[in-house]
Amino acid sequence: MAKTKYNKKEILAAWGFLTPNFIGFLIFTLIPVVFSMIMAFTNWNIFGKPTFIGFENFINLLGFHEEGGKQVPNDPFFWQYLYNTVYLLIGIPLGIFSSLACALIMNQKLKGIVFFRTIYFLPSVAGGVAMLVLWKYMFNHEIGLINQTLRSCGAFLYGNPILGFLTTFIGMLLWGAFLVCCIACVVSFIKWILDKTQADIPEHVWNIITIAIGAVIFILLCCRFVTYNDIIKTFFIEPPDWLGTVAWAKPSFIIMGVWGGIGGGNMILYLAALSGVSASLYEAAEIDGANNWKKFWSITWPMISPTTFYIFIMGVIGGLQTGFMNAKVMTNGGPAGSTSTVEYYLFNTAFQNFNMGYASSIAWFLFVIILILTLITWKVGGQVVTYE
Amino acid sequence: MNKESLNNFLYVLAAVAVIALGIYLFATQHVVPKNVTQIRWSVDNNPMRKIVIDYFEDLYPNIHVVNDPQADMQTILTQLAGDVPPDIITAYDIESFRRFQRLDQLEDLTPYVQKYNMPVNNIRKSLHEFVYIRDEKDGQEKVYGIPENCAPFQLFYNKDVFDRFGVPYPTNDMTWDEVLEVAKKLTSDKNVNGRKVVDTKGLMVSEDVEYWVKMYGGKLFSEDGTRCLINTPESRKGLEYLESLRMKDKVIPSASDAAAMAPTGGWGGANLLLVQGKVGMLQVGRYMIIEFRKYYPQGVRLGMVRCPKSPCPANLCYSKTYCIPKSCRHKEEAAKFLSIILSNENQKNITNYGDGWPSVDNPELYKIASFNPKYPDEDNNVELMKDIEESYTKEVFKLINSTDFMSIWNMEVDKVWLGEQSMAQACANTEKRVNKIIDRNIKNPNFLN
Repeated sequence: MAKTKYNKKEILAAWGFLTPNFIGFLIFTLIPVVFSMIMAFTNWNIFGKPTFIGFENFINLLGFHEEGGKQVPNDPFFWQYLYNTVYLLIGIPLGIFSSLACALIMNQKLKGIVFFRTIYFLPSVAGGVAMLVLWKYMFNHEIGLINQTLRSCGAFLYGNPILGFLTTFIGMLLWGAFLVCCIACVVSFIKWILDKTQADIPEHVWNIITIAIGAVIFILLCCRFVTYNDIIKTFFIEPPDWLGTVAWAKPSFIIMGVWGGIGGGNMILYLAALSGVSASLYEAAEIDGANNWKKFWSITWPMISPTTFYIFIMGVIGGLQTGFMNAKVMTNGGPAGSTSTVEYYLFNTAFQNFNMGYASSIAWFLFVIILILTLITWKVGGQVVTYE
Repeated sequence: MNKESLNNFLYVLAAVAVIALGIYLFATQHVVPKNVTQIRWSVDNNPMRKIVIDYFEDLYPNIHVVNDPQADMQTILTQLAGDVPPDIITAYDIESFRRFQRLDQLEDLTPYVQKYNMPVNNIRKSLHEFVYIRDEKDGQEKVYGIPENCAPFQLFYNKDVFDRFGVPYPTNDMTWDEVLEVAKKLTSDKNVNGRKVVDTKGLMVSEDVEYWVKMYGGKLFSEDGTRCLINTPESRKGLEYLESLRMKDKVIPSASDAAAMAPTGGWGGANLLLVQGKVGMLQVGRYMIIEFRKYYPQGVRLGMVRCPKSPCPANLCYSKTYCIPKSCRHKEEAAKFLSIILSNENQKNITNYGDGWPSVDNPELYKIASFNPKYPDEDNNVELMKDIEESYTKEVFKLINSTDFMSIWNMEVDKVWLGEQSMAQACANTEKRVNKIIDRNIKNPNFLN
């Protein structure tokens, strides 16, 4: 390989341009990262000198001890908050599908589509604390927009017995359809992975499995009509206290996250990806008699899979590192700690308790989890993503 | 590098230099004159602070005081660690005050007390916890803080709400049970589209766990701090009383009710609920009167009586104390500033302004505090001041971080408000969990900071 020669002036210019950035990276990233790694093995309250304590922080964080014949965690807060953080990751696939759906709609050649694209992108521009405060207001049990709407609908629908019956029936059907869709998605995903890994399972087997599961769900739902009537009616007549109950606080955060993600950066990425899919592929499919669903499933979805893969990985990485702002502004981590995340715990440990060593160990453990999940996703994703 | 690249590089360099110069000129336009020393006072931005600063700067024209309102614990500790602390810091509770001292960050003020004749001996006895700390090295009790005011709980009430329901105004000698009966009469619902919605709640109380624990003579921790005592019968009884106010008698609003009742549309403090007549009575510290006085011109009629004395005669007292950090760069100037905090003139200002009660006890201040002709409706001050000497300051958390304790307590009490467990279960769980953490902290002190 021929050695490239640069003259001294060029090397100097390169260093000149690179140095400011490198200094910034060194001071604000590399040194703090290395410092936090060292801190994870110390006890340091920011005053005085750090004391080296080996792996004690990690043992306290991840270890268990026996108590009354049971294994209990040394730090129960951490495991509860880790569970909350993982639970909130449910929002990632929901966000991906919604932003893809939004991008597909926004990709249509309609009059004034630019205006609609702008409207749907607005939530990302107006993000931050103001948006959280607005959502807090909307989720209010008594006067929130969501519950007011649900109550008005409930009063109208259940004011009439026939309408009430129809509402419950449609609600039950929708719920059943949602469950079937979820199962179909999981089955399709498994099938897709197995297809990519050359496993040979006939198409009709998959169809039978999906239909059978769907049928079982519908039968079970019909048997429980009265229970569903109560649940759906209660949901409309006395809607949940979204942020005030353990059962609804996390789903509320997910709803809010999905809303924020629908028309944001992910939609833009999908729009870019969709515009990159060659029109000739669709023309060829049309000649072969493919319908819209077939075109989407066989052309669009594989062609935009690198984007989906990127969004998923970034979502997982971001999802594990967030939650602080929502918890701080909307719920203070409550009720009963149900909206506290690892990031919120990290902040409290570092900047309320000033236990920097322990906070660093939390941060490094979080890093390891993110690294492992990213590697797994990378490994699996590498096999299923279609590159042109 | 060719000539064009070099030119571009020089242009960028020139632009950076111009911006830097602009920033420098902007930052230095309020330069303090050479003969004036500027000191930084980290405290909330209550308008009262300006009155204190103006008074001080009149006395010491060569010292300029800047109020830095970022006075929260996190900010101050970070500044202390970075060796750029404010010259005067404020501790808003005993826990913060002790924590600063435990971290060896506070200057011993004893020499300054003598030098500037600060009348620390005249500070009310109930505030001594905010003044003295025993030095573990030599066993001597030293002055580390100068408290400016004190604010025991009192019961504010909205006269219009009482008149609307035809209920007689509360009195100073009421017990909690009598207050509860009054609160029941003031609690009402309204009908919105066929639904019962809270219209008025009779009472809003502080949910400070320590107040309710002490109601029947309980304690949060043992003397040595090694055991949590929240599940003793005395502690539990007080907290169960709080539970019954909200869950059984329903005279106090839940967080969700409070947000829904707020006239500002979802949020606003308890004080707004009182002035808007959504709540009949409010238990809060004396300091809140500054806020309430803003509403007098709008026709809001408030009264205030002593916090119920029975079953427990004691009352929780809030205060704040000013300290000088060890690494302060202008100790003498800061000490001069602290010297005026307890002065008669400053204490008079505090009394007139209503920032709690004065921390110093003397007949002249007592007379001023007894009645302020500017606020003729505040005619019960003599009775209210009796609470000062009968009040206590909060306990110090010795072997558990206060944030850890509060995390556990908030989780457990949330379950009570959600109807998932009783207060007795919450107390039992909290005691068990807190004791476990205390045991862990004794074994691994690196958890404790």
